[in-house]
Amino acid sequence: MYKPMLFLQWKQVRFALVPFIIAAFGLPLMLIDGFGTPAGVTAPTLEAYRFVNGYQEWLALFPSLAVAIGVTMALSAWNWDHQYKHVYALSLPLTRWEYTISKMVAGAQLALIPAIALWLGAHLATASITLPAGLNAYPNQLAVRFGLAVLLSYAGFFALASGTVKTTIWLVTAIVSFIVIGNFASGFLATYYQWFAQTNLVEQTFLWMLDAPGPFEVFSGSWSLIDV
Amino acid sequence: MSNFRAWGASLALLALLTPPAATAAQQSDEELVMRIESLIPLVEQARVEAQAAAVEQKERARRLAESRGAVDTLHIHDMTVIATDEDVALARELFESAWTKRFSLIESSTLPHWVFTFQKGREVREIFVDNSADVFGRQHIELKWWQSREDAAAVVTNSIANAIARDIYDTRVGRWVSSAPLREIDPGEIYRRMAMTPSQAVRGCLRGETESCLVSLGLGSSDQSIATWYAPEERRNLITSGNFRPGSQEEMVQFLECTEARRYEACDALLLAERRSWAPLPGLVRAALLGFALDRGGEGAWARLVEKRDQPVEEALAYSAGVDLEALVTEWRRFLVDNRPETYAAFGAKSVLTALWILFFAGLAMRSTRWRLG
Repeated sequence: MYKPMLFLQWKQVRFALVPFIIAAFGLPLMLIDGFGTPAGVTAPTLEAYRFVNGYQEWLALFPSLAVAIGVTMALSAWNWDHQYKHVYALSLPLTRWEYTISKMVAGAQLALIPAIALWLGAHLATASITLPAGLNAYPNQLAVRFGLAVLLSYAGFFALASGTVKTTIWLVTAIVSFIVIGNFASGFLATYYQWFAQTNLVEQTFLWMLDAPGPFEVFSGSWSLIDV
Repeated sequence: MSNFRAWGASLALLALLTPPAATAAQQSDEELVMRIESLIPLVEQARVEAQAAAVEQKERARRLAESRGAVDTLHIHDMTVIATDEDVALARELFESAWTKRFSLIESSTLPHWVFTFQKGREVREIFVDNSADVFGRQHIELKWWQSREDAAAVVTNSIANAIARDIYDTRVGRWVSSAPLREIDPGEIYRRMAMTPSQAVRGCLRGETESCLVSLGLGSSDQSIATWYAPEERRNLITSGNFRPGSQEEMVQFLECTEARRYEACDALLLAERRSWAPLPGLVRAALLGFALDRGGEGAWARLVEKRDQPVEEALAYSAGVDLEALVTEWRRFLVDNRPETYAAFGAKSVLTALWILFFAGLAMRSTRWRLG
C-alpha cells in the first residue's frame, strides 16, 4: 500500500519540488562571493571572512525555505482528499492511522529531496573557498538541521491539514487571543507585580517554543555554514 | 577666597580714602574720585560672590542632611558604598559577592578613595556624595526595580572594574589596553572576534605562532606596521570594506588604483594617510589578555602591574603574571582555543528532541477529529 501512496504523492508534488530543489542547492552557493580567488591575489581566505561577516543578512532564508517546503508538501498531501471529500481514504481497506502514517511517511520521504540538494550545495560551496585558521565549515550539520526543519514544518502542517476547518479556526483563534490578551494582561499586571514587570508572558512562551526543549528550536538554532 | 577678596577690596578702598599726610595735598580731587569709582564694581562683585558661596554651602549642607537621613554608608573591604535604606542588604550582598568572586586579590590604590552609590527602585533618588579631598571619584549605580539579580551583579562587577582601572589610567599600560581589564569577558567572544578578523597576524596567532600573537596585540619588538598585520589583499580589503571616501583628487586616483588596479602601494598610502591605528585586535582582546595575566599572576598581580604601569607593556605583563611574555601569550592562546564557542552545541541531543516533536505532530494527525465518526 505504501508504494502507491508514494507514487500518488510524487505525482501531486513533483513539479512543485523542482524550484525548491534548485533553491536549496543554490542557496549555499549564493552566499559565497564568487568562486575561488582572483589570479595573483595572495589572501585566498577573504571570501570566508566576507561570508561570515555578511552572512547574517541571509540567515532567515534557510529556515524560511524549510518552512515553505514543509507547508507545500503537507498541503499537497491532503489536497486530493479535501477535493474529493475523503471518499478515497474511506474506501480503502486500511485503518485510519495506517492510512495517515503511509501518507505522512511518503510525503516526508519526498520532502527530504531538497535537503539532500542543500547538502550537496553546501559541500560544493565550502570546497570552493579556503578556510583560514579559526574558521570551520559545517555542511553536514546545516543539511541535517535543514532536513529536520523541513520535516517538522511538514509534520505540523500535515497535522493541521488532516483536521477539519473548524479545528483550524479554533487553533488560530486561540493563538491570536493568547497573543492579544496576554500582552494586555502582562502590561496591566506589570504595574503591580515585579514578576510581570520582569517577564512578558507572551514573549516568554514564544522564547520557550524557540529554545530547547520547545518544538521550534530547530528554526532558531545556528544555521551557520562557516563559523568558528 | 571670595571673602578675602571682599576684605582686600575694602582695605584698598580704605587705604585710598586715607592718603598719607605728606601726599594728600598733592592729589587732585578728580583723581581721588576716579579711583574710588573704579573700586566700587570690584567691591560689588566680591559681595555677590560671597553671597553665592554662602548659598551654595547652605544648599550642600541641606542636601547632605537630607541624604544622610535616607541612606546608609557601608564599608565592604576596600569599598565605600552609599545605599538607600531599603537597598542596603542587596548592596552588601552584591558587592561582597563581586569582591569574593573577582577582586579579592586586587590591591588597588584608587578603590579606597572611590565612592559607589547604589539604589534599586521605582524612583531614582539623589544620593549626595560629599566632595571631600579623600574622594577621587564616584560611581552611581541606579537599577530599575524590575531588573534581575544577575543583571545587578554584572553592573556592580563592571562598576568596580572601572574604578580599579583608574590605577592605570593615562599610563603606558592603560593606553595600550584602552579598556577596563577586570570586566567579565567571555573567552568565546574573544575567540570569535579573532577568528573573524581578516589579518595574517591574527591567523598566525590562531595557528599557534606566538610571534604573530605578539604582533597582532601590539607587543614585542617586531615591526608593528600595517604590512606585518595585513597581507596586501587584506589591506586592499580595509579600503574597500571600510566606507572609505576620497577627499581629494589625489586620493581618488589612489583609491581607484587600489580598488580597481590592485596597486597595493596606493592602498598603503591611503591607510597611512588616515592617521589612525589599524591594529587588528581591539582593546577588548587586549583587556582579555591582561585579565588572563592577572589571573595567572594570582595574589599581588595587580600591584605588580601598577608598579610597572609606565614601563614597556611587555615588561609589565610578564612581571604581573610571573612568567615570561611568550609563555603567557602561548597559554592565553591555548585557553582561548579550549574555550572556543561551539557553533552546533548539543546538536545531537537537540536533533533527537526535534525528532520527538515530529512524532508528536504525527500522532496529532492520527487523532484528527475528522476520523472520529460517531
